[in-house]
Amino acid sequence: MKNKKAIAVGTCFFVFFLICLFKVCAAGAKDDVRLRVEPEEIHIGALYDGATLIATGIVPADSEAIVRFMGTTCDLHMKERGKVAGIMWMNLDSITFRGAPSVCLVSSAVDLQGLEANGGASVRVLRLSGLRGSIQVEAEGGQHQNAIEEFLKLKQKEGLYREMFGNISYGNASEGQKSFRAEVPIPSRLIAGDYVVKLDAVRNGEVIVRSEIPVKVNLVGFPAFLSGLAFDHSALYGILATVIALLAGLGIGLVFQSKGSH
Amino acid sequence: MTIPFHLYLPIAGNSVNMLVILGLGGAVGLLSGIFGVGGGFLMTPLLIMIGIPPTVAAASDSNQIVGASTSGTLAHFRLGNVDFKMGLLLLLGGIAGGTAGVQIIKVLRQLGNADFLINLTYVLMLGIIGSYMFAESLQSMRKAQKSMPAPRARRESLYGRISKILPWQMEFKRSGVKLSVLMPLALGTLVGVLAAIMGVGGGFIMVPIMVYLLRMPMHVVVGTSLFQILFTCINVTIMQAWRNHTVDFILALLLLIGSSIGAQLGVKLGKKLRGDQLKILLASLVLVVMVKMLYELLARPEILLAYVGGH
Repeated sequence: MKNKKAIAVGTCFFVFFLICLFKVCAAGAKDDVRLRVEPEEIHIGALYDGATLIATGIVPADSEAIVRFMGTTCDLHMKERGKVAGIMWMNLDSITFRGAPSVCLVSSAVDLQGLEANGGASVRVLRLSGLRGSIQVEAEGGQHQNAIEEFLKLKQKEGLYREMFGNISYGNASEGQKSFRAEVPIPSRLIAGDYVVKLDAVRNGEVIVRSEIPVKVNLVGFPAFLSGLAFDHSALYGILATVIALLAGLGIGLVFQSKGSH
Repeated sequence: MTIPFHLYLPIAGNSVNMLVILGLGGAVGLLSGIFGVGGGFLMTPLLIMIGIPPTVAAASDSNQIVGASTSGTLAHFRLGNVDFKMGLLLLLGGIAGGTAGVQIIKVLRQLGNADFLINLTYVLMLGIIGSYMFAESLQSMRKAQKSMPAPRARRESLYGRISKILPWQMEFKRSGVKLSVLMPLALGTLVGVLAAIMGVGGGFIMVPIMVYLLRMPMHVVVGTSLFQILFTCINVTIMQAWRNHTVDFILALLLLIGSSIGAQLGVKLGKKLRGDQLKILLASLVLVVMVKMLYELLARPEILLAYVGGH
């Protein structure tokens, strides 16, 4: 009798455990993301003029994918412009921005403003305006309330910070998931280094799951050779640049002399 | 098949359209060949406008001026327009002045508001030089049009009398003047100080000084100025590449091809113009740059941040 009771209790626990496991698996499958990036390495050769990075994967069917291409953070030393004597605009105080990513490209299928308006605080953090919270400002004297705003404007003008919508497309939903494909235009103004592609799946304005893949940007061919020479043998590079410029100037001068003499 | 017109600049960290850079180089080289100025005060802002970082723009521009001024000096040398003796004295003064100027700018920065003083000096210098050259050339052009009576003996100016009593008088045959060695040395030093404070090569200050204070003929001024600029820019290029890693050789080479060709055309064009015509054109250019600078000082900038560096 005791054994029967124990078996019944054990069976109940086992069934309960299976139900829980199923639920966890189901939930996991539902709120899972997968991310692939093509290419995982961007090569900057002599003729590089920007590239298109393709990010593909799956997100929960009832979520929106937000794909970000981010550069490593760095410190930027700049000058703030202000009025002197009430009439002239000058470079005034030195200002340093710490923790600003070198590149920040945010892609989504729909307007991010719409997603943010749906009440999610998380979406705000993913947007360019969200960088306000992560960039620190160090400045000498004066008021600097608008410094980050101006910084974001400058970076957007340079094409290094950008919000894009409509460059993510979705496939048909099945089993609570949908595939996505993002085409991210990488700017021509890019330096070699480590970058990362971040995927955030957003539901009701909140991030429910995220994933990221590193992307390496390398100089190859002639740019790599020249960069190595300029940074590792800078004095030689300076002398060579001068000598070649002198010879080129002389060469062009002689070409014109021979043409002029006819 | 499309022809790839874009090239990646590894030091600037940006890709540029080759034709745009060749065009910019050609246009500025043309002015350089005509007027004997390096063109840095025009080229650097144009490069910044197309997305080149200011420090790289200024340093690479110096590199291209080495080539352009070599080509220009060669062309002027063939025409007999380079006064090497005068050029070397001005260069010696310029090096001394440049070194002193760097120290002065350090002191100014410690005192604060150095940029205010630099910009004000810039606008005032450009305004005074440009207006004076413009008015003087206009006057001489008008005089040339009228049939002039036999020239009367004019009373010599105080400046002329002082320059004659200074020691170490020397004959500058190519320029056709006799001056004290101290004059080009002192004036070279003055331009060196101003150039270092303003962060430019100084060609547009040197040319009026050669014309009005050293009394050199305009065509010799252009050739001699280019000869002097050549050495200044060799020094700047090597120092910038060595210390700051800001010389983008690809950018400089593209600019150089454009500007060397432009400079040769400029020399030929300049030969067809009279001295007073050349002066009035240079004066107009200087005044246009002054107005542009004044506008930048008075109008609210689009973005209230600026990178450190550049001209």
